[in-house]
Amino acid sequence: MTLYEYLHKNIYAKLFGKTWPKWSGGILLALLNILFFLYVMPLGGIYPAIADWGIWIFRLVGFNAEPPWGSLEVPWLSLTSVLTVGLILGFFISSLLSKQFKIRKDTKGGYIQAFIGGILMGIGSFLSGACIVGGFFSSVMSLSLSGFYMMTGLIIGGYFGGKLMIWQGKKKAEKIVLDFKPVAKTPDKHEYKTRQPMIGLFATIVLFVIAAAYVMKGRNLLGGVLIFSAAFGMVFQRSAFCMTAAFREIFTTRANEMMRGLLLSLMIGVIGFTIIKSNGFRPAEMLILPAGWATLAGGVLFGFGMVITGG
Amino acid sequence: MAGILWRSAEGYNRHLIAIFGTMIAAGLWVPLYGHKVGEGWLYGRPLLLPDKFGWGGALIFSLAVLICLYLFVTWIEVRKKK
Repeated sequence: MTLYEYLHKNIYAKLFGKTWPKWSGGILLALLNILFFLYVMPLGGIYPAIADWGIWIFRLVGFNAEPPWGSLEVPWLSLTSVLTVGLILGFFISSLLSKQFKIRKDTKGGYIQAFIGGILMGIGSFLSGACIVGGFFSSVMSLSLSGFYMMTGLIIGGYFGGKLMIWQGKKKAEKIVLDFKPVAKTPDKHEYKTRQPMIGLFATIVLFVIAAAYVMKGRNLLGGVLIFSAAFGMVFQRSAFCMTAAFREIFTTRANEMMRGLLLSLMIGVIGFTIIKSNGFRPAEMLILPAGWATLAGGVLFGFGMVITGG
Repeated sequence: MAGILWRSAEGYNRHLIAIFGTMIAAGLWVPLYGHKVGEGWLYGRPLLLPDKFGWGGALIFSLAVLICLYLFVTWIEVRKKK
């Protein structure tokens, strides 16, 4: 056995072969979030970044829109934008390395549904003050009451979204019975040859080059954030840590492995954050969002939106 | 939110459309509502749990809620299998 074969079998195949168990993803995300909180802030700000990009597009077409959060910065110097790009790169690299990248088309109805879901998620984020990651995941860890409000809202939204999915599934099932065609067996994911892992490796190098460029320009923090968020993205992708699934499955399949992983993650995170905040390592007021009816309503809209989008 | 980014990065067109939808909503929020997020009549007050319960109390409260939910979802799953 050569070194290459050994590494391939014992490292690569283990990391990028099978999906990691949810609990391991949950533990890793909690630990990453604790470290990230010590370093900069709790994971969040994804939605504000997307909103900023939307505002830039609006400004490009001549409509003078204002950002709903804070002030507008150029994307490459804005912390949240860099974080979001890092996450996307992490997802991308991880899906390439595990040979899961594929352009997937959808039906017209699916696109419309996703578009509506996107708008609902937008409104939900504005009402609750942040998206699911910042407003729920990190907020619960931060001991903010708003996190629990949003969680309640998400459960309610997940309930309605789940009902809709079941109804749609039934309709689809009837259709499939009518025109049933045998599906060709797809080859096993790790049997066929593809260049994807090589491209993934290349993208990883690009990631580090960009981070290095930030550091050389004296923006060490942004470089660090980029690498950190890519790590977040990889853990999310490899463990298929999908919060939407967590809230949807309670009401559809009732296989709640994902929800348990998420709750485990929150339990570890809340302990870590309490230690950090109570000792004053980081300010206690960090990520404390408004808690009220708007938060709850935002959670409901967000929960419904994300389930019908199918995130 | 991470979900739609991740699916987009895996190549789902559907989720790119969803991101586009959220971008549109983003541009219209301030013109329609008149305030930024977190300001104005719509929002409640931020509350740091330790201010109310103390650090230990806040931790116990959070863990209790999470553990209750954990048991609840497990109960749902077990009940289904019967």
